[in-house]
Amino acid sequence: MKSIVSTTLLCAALAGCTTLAETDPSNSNVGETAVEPTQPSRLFLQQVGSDSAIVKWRGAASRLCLAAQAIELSQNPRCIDARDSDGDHREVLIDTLAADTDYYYAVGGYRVDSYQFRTAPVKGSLPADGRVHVWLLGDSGTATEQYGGRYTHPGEAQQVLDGFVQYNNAERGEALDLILLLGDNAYTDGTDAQWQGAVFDLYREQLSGAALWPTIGNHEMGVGKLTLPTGTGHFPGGSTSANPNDFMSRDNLTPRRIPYLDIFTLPTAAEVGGVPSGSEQYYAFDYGNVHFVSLDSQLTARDDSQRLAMKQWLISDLSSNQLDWTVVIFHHPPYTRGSHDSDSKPASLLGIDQPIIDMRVEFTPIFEDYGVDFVYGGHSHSYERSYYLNGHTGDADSFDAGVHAELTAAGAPAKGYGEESYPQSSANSQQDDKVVYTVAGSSGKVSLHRSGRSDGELDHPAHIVQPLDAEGRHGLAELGSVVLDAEATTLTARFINERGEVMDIVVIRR
Amino acid sequence: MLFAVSEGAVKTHSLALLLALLPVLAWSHAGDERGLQRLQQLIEQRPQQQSHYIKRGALYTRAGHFQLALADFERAQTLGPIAAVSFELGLYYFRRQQMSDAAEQFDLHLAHYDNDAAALEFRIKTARALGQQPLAQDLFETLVTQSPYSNPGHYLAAANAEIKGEAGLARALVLIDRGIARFGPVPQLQQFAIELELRRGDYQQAISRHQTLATATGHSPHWLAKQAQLLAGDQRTEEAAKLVRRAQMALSTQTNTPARARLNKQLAELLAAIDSH
Repeated sequence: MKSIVSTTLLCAALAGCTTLAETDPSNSNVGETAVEPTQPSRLFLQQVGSDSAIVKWRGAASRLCLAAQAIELSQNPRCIDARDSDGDHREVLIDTLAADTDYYYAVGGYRVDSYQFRTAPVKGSLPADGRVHVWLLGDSGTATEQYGGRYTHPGEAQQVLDGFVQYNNAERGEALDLILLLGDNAYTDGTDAQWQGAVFDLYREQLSGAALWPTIGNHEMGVGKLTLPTGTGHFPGGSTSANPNDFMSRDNLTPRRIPYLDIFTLPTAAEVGGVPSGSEQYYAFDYGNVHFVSLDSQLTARDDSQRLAMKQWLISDLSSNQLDWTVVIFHHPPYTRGSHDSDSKPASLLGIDQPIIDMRVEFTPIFEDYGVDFVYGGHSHSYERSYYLNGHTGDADSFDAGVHAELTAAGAPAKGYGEESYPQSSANSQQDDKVVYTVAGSSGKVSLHRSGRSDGELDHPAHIVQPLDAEGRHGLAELGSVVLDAEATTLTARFINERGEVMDIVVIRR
Repeated sequence: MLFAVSEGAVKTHSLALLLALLPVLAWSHAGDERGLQRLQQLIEQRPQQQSHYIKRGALYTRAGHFQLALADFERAQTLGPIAAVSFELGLYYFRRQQMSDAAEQFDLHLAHYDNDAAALEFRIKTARALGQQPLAQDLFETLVTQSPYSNPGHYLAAANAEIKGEAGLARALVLIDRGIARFGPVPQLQQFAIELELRRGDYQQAISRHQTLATATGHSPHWLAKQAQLLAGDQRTEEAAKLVRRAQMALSTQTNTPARARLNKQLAELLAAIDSH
């Protein structure tokens, strides 16, 4: 079983810590370097597959060395020169790796215990520890959220992280395989500096050991120019442009390229499975027995022809997928009554939330037709989890559990846990035609405030009534994140609050 | 909480003010009658505010109230920079099929906002509608070269605009192939190209193009079925029948989704058609 290594102390401060000479690939002089190794200011893993992985960082180091045994790292490491990449990053593509195998690495001679990762198992199979272990964070970027010169949600993202670590350690202490970001992960504007504070500093330990897979939220596109009766203003998260070169931030209103695309190295040519998308804005990948798809509801979805192209690619991708489970992420949730409302009129407020409707109307039928199991979004700063749904493309008041939800033998909508867990192939239709939709946007703050309306009431009827909610609502106004575990016959998702408690669980079995 | 940056300075709108203002603007995409009424009230309160008229004109345009829309745009032009009106006025003319006037407005807009992809895309459409193919092509080049993150969708839209007549099909295929050269044989583009080849009656080219998707799609049942359909169209019925049976066999081991159920039915129909041939 894998275990999380908790050491995060800097090499320079830790007696006996391993360092490797950057200048000598076959270095065996552990602890001796020509230049004192320094910690990269950011380091994260991309595209970890069964035979390759990318390690990406920012800092002076120009080489990565790795080995399949920690001891080999100091004796006979394999070293690879980094290439410079966009946004002042360096990255190394490591190929010819063995599947489902631990690797230990150092960057520029610098290493801490958490610098190790495990490659994916061979496509279609499970990891040696029996399950794919995934952490999902939505709207987590509040570590850098400042308005009026003050932090508006200080420490809340850290609390969510602490809650996850507490839960994880109390369970199996299992290392993460993947981290999925559901958008709005670097408030307020998605600038490079905000990504640093909200993601790379906060999750430093987790990011060095598990592949990071993002999607674009509205706050990744900085500020949008909106016309109000008082004049024109620029509002964080308010961009309605489909063009990634229209990024602006509060401190710099010159349109430029979205930092997100400089920070991440994402697949365009099916480098780690799926069907080539030709765009880093939407992509797919495989990990073990799970197929993952990241769609772009912020940019691509806002342009008719680009949205059509994404839709056609999605159909090709899903129709080619034969893995046990399929999980889709994108930022704008098809069903929500939290800090955003998925109903037509308010949801289309200023056009900012138009993707909610477009994704619901145009994409949920595809998910249901092609066997998607879970769909995750954020945007609303709460937790809402749906019944096992099919065919609900209208507003909330058109939801009919008898038509749209998986039903128990008694005719009630099944809740998704215990004896009411969901069969992948619906007991009602005898087809794999239903999907669980989850809003997981409280990984950095909880808010039910909705612009221009009363507060969101967490009352979308397509979402289950949460038994642990004191007010009996169809959602939870709690900080937290989602942990997803894919095994051979079950796909289980749990919402973990900031105290490490499991507040919701949903299971699909096959 | 929302904050605005205006004229280089950060200024904070009070929550109460924003709560009051935002619903007013909801009409612009929702077609909300109530929003229109509220906007009317705002115009009464601030009759010199240019943006109110632009927004209302846009709403009237979408609703097909063209006279009212034009009146608002003309009023807006007297209340502030003309360029601020040009994009929405361009859309007004575009929807009225007055392409020369639309082009003039988009040009005006682009003169002030030369990186505006939305305006560029509409200017390309107007150029095509006016038969200005070289200009449309130049603007398309500008669009795709200015944006290092051009999407396959841009090429799809450009190709889609070309497909009139045999020459148009050929031009569309050139555009698609440029997209494929840039992005690889992504299915969004290659499948469109296949449809165009079929319109030209060129089954062999269609088959050849479809073959490029085989590895990427893992010879999935859907890929096998499409390939069988193309082969059958090219009178290669024995090969087609073999692929149909392969697809059926592959499907029999997979979870039954609605898409696969439909495919299974289509395969049975295709096989019956081949057998009866």
